[in-house]
Amino acid sequence: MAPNPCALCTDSRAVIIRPKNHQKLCRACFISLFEREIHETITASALFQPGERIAIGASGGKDSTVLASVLKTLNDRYNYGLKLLLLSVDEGIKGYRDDSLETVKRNAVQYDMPLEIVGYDELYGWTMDQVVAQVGKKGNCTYCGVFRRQALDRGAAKLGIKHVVTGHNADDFAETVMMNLLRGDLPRLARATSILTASPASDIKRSKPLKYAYEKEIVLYAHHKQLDYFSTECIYSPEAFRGSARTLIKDLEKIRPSSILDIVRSGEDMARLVPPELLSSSSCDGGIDGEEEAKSGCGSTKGRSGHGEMVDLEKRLAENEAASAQETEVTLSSANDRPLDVVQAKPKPKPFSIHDKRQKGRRKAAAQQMGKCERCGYLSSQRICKACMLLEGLNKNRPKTTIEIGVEDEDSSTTLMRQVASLEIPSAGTGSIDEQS
Amino acid sequence: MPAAQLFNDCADCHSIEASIDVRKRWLCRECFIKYIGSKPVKRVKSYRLKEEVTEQPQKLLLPVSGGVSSVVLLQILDGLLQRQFSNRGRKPYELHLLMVEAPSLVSDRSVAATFNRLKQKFPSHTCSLVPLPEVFKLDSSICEDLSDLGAQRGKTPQASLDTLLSCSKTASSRTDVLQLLLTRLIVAFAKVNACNAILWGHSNSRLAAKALSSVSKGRGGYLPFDIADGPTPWGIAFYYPLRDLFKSELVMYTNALPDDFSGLVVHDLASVPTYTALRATSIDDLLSAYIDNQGEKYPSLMANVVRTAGKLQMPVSAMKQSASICGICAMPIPETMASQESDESNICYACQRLRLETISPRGP
Ligand SMILES: [Zn+2]
Ligand SMILES: [Zn+2]
Ligand SMILES: [Zn+2]
Ligand SMILES: [Zn+2]
Repeated sequence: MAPNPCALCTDSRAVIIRPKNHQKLCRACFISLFEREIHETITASALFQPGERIAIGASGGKDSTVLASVLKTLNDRYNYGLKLLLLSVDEGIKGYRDDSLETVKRNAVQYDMPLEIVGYDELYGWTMDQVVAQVGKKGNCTYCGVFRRQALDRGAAKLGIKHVVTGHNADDFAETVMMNLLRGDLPRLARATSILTASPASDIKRSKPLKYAYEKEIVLYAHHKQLDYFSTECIYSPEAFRGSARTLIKDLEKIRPSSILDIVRSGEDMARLVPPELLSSSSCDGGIDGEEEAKSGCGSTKGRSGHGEMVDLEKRLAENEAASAQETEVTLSSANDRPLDVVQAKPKPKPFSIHDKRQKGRRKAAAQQMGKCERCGYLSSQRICKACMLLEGLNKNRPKTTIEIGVEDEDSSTTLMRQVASLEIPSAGTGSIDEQS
Repeated sequence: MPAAQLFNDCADCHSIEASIDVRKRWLCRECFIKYIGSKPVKRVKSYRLKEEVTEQPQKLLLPVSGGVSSVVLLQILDGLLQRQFSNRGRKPYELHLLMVEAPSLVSDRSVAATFNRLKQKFPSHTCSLVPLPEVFKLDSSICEDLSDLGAQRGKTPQASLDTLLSCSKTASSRTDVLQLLLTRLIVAFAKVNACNAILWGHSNSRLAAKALSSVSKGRGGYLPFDIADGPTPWGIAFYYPLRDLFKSELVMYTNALPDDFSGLVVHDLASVPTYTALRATSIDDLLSAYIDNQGEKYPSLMANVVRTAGKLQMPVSAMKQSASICGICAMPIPETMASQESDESNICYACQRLRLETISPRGP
C-alpha cells in the first residue's frame, strides 16, 4: 500500500486534500469525484434536455474553462446529447480581452467546440473604448453593467440558442447570499440562489452547473487536468458589499471548510421564507448573473470603489430611521396598546424601503407589466430597455469629431438602431427576468 | 432677536446642555437615559404579557450573564415593575433571574460574586444560580437527544459534561455545543419553574451577529426562530426587548447611570479574535467581531440585517405539532429533507454538520 493512500481507491498515493472536506485523494479519484458531483448536480436539477443547444459563456478564465471541459467530458460520458458552443463577449477595450480571447480560441480547438465571439460594436454599435471616450471614465460603469448583463443573452439570441450556462461557483453563490443579507435585499437573495433561472416571459434560460463546486477545487481540477486557461489578476475592486462578504467567507472557510456550502444551503432555505409580496414587488435587476458579470469589470476600474455603496446605504438607513422615530414619538401613546405582530416581527411603524429613488421608480413600473423593449425586443419593464436608453443618449451626443475621424464609426452609429432591431429575437423576447433592466 | 445660544441644548428637553450623541441627536444625560430606557419598555409592553393573566401574574425568566446587555435589561425592567407597582398596586408579571455558572462564559470575575451583588441590588426578584452541568439533571432527554454529538450519562453531571465537551474537535463545535447546552438548560429551567416566557438580553448587535452566524452554519432556514420575538419550537416563547439598541449604546447607558450601577456589570473580556489564529476561533466569535468592527462605521446597516432577517416568514406548518423536529436543536425539519435523507431524518442539516466536528466517545 502507498505510504499516504487515497481515501477512495486506497492503492494510489493521495496528493490532494479536498478543500471541501479535507478528504485525502489521489489525482484520478479527485478528478472523477469532481466530475461525478457536477453530473449529480446536473441530473438532480434536470438542467438539460437531450438535443439542447447550449452556449457556454466563455471568458477564458478558470471557471468557464473548467465548465467547458467538464461539460464536454460529461456530455460524451453520459450521452447528454447536448450541442455545446463557446460564446465570448468582446467589450472592445483595447488590449483587455486579447489574451483571454486567444485562450478561448485555443479552448475551442482543444474541446472541438464551435466558438462565437460577439463584440459590443456589433451588439450595440459602440465599443467600451468608444463609450469611455464619449462619457469619460467616471460614468462608464453604468454602461458597462447594463451592456454586459445583456450581452450573453443577446449573443445567444443572435445564434438562436435558448440556454446559456455560466461558470458561477459555490463561492460566488455564498458571497451573493451574504452580500444581499448585508444590504437587506431579500428579493435578490431569493433569486440569486437558484441554479436555473428562466421566466415565462423570457426565452433564454441561464444555468450554473458549478453551483456546488468550490473555487479552490475548480483551480485544482484545472491544474491536474492541465487545462489551458487565462489567469489574470482581477483589476476590478469589488463593490463594497461584495468585498465585505468575500472577506468574511474566506475567513469562515478557514474555520469550517463546509461553510461555503452551508451558506449556499442557508440561502436556498431563506429563499423559501421570503414573503411572496416582497418577491413580486421588486424589479431589481441582476441576480447573481448581473453581479458576476460585473465582477469581471470593465477595465477602467473604480466607478464607485471602496466603501461607497455601504456608506450610501448607511446614510439612507439612518435618515429613514430618524424620520420614522419622529413619527413614533407622535403616535406613541396610541401605539402603546397595540399588539406587535411578534411572530413575524414586521418592521414598525411602517414598511420602509432600502431602495433609492431610482429603484422605487422602477419598482412601480415593474408592477405594471413585463414586456419587450420596443426597439430591440429585449425583456424590459419599460417601453424602452435600459440599454436602448443609454444608446440613445450616446448616439445623440456622439461628437462630430468622432464622425469625422472614423467613417466606420459613423456608419455603425447611424445603423445602430436597425442593427439592434434586426437581431434575431425569438418570439417571446430574450433574457430572463434577472437580467432585464 | 433671540439671544445667542451659549450651549448646544438637548434635543428633547431643550433646557439642559446636551452631552451625548445618540443616532445623530444630541441629548442631555437625563434624556439619554430616558430615551434608552423607553425602547425596551415599549417592546415589553407590546408583548402584552399581562393579558394572559389568570390567577397568578405571569412569570418571566430573565437569564443574566452579568454582561452589559443582560444587566441593563434587568435594571430597566426592574424600574418598570417598580413604577407599575406604585401606580397600580400590583405587578403585571414577576421576574425570575437566572445566572448560569459555566466554563468559559463571559465573566472574568467569579459568577457567584456577581450573583450576590445583583441579588442585593435587586432584592424583589427571585434569583437562582445554577451550574451548567445541572442541564444533565433538568433536561431529562438530553443524553439521548445529543448522543450523536457524543453525549453519555456519566457518574456525575460534571462527568457527563466533560465527556460531551471532550468530543468537540474544533473551537467552533465546542462553542456551538456550549451554546446549545446553555439554551437547553435555560429552557428546561424555565419549564421546571413554570415560567411563561424567556426574556433575553440580546442587543441589536448581538442579534445581527447571531443572524449572520446562523446563516454561516446552514441555519438560514431557521432565522425567524433565531431572532424573532414569539413562540419557538422549544415550546416556550423567546423575547428580545433590547433588539432596538446597539451594544455601544448599552455601554454608554451604563456609563451615564450612577457609579454604583456600572460596578455591577462584568465587562466582556476582549473578544476580538486575532486573525492569525482563525482556526482556533469559533464562527460565533468571528461574526461578533465582524459586527463590532462594521457596527462602528455602519450601525444602521448592521441593524438592517436584523430587520431584513425579521422579514422572513416561517411557514405555518413549521409550528405544527406534527412537524418533525431536530433532536439536537429542536428546529423543524423541512418535509422534503426528511424524506430525502431518511436515515438522518431526526437531525437537521446544520446539526449534521456539527456532528462532523465531533468524535464519538466510543470511537478511536
Ligand atoms: Zn484514488
Ligand atoms: Zn432595448
Ligand atoms: Zn434633555
Ligand atoms: Zn438541528
